[in-house]
Amino acid sequence: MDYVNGMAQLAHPSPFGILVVLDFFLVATSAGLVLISALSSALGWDKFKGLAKPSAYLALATVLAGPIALLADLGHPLRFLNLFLHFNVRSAMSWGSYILMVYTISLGIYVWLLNQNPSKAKNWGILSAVTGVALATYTGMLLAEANSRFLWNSALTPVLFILSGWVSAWGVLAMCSQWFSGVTRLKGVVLEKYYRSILLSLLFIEIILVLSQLLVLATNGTQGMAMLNYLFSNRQFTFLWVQILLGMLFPAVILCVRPGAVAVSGFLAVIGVFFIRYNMIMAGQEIPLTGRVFGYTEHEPLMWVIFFIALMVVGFLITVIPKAMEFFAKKSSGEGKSANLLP
Amino acid sequence: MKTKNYAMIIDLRRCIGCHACTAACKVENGVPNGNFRIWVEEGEREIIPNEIGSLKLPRQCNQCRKAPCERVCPVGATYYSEDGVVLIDPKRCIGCRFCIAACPYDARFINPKTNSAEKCTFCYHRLSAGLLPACVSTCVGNARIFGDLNDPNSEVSKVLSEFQTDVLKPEMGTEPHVYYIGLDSTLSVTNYGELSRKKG
Repeated sequence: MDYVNGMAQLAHPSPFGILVVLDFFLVATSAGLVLISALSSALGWDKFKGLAKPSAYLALATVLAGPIALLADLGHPLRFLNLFLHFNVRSAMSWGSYILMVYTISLGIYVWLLNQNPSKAKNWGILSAVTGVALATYTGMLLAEANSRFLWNSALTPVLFILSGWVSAWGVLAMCSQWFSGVTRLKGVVLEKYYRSILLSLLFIEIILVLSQLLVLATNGTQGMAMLNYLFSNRQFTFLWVQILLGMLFPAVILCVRPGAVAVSGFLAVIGVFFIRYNMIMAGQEIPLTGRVFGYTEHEPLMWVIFFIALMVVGFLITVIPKAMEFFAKKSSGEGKSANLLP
Repeated sequence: MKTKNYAMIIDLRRCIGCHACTAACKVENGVPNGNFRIWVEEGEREIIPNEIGSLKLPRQCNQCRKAPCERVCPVGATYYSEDGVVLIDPKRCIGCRFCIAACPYDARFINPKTNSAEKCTFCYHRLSAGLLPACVSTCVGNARIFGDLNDPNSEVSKVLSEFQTDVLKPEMGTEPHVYYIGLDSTLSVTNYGELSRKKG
């Protein structure tokens, strides 16, 4: 018990921590990446032709690392199979588990076919894109389903999560095209042509959505004002300085002033998207539902270790997946050639 | 056929804030340090000019008939007993904490020993043995009344028909089965203008 002015009150730890934030960020980024890939490979947008394979590789790398964070966050990681054995039709998380499973499998097949048999990849690309959008929506829906947390329980939440997923996807592509172009097979892909207008438009919509969210809070009585106060005082650093200024306004300004600085603007946009989720999840839990004491986040060192391990896994998979796919593609084409030589 | 419909009434006029219910619950259910299935909030309010009244509000799982925790549980580990008590299957619970996030009453926590979600069950193991919940048996001022709402002769039915009662957060539409007599909004409604940080 905590004593506020000598009176007994109980502060509650936040149920969701940094690993949930990371998982939501990774799956939404993956969904955004697969959408970019599918636009060229499945829907025939020539503009993005060079991005089909690299963004599909990146999508697979990010989505495979997400569940590491999610599983480590479970009280009973080995019981994750229960998610598939016991379905609750009214639970967003139950739906999310199946969506994630279908998405990961379809994306895996899509990436495989892009290398082995591109003509057959179209339908899998469409399925991956559709389930990807569902996946990004589900993370927002999951928060919105907890209707007692008024910051989460908004129709804006899923929309913001889908859109920001696309922002971070473009940000990741921009970073990789300039900093890791060889590893990610983005060498020779010139993003500058269309990247600026796309990211600027997306950032503009993202800013409008966040502003709408703030306006809704400002008109939501004492509850909303308390949340606004909280965001601009207790969470001022992560919300105002990192999410809004560094993650939304700076990339837009950089793109306007120096259109060629795609990697820096992309990196900042990715930071902004991560902190959208961080602030939404953390602030949503810290305004108390009962009593007069703010909730608090338990910073367990192990969680941060897993956080960085998951990020390292993303890096590892980004390096390994293209190589592996190309290896199998070469192997199968070699087998095909030798088969053709047979009488 | 539903045979019983358990409910609890907490008469706040009788609660003296001794926290005996909290202690009894902890002992009965082996609740680990730092966690609570039941806790008593305290506050104060100026009742008449220059006279400060001390307010108490015992809180716990409200045994909602439309429980958000039951709705959001992805594996169906939270379920209703046939007498309407919201229970958790600790062997099925995966410890995702979604139920904790969804509960409007902050009634749930993760037991650090079992890594599963936990909350008040009206001491269901005692009910099954024909006993009252530990907090009801222990309450010094007899502020807690427990029984079957389907039985018109039960004390809980009689008190509910005789006195004006309130529930916490009725606007959530969760149909709580913990009722309060003499509920004061000073404690039951969060005053967002007077929030403090946790000490330490």
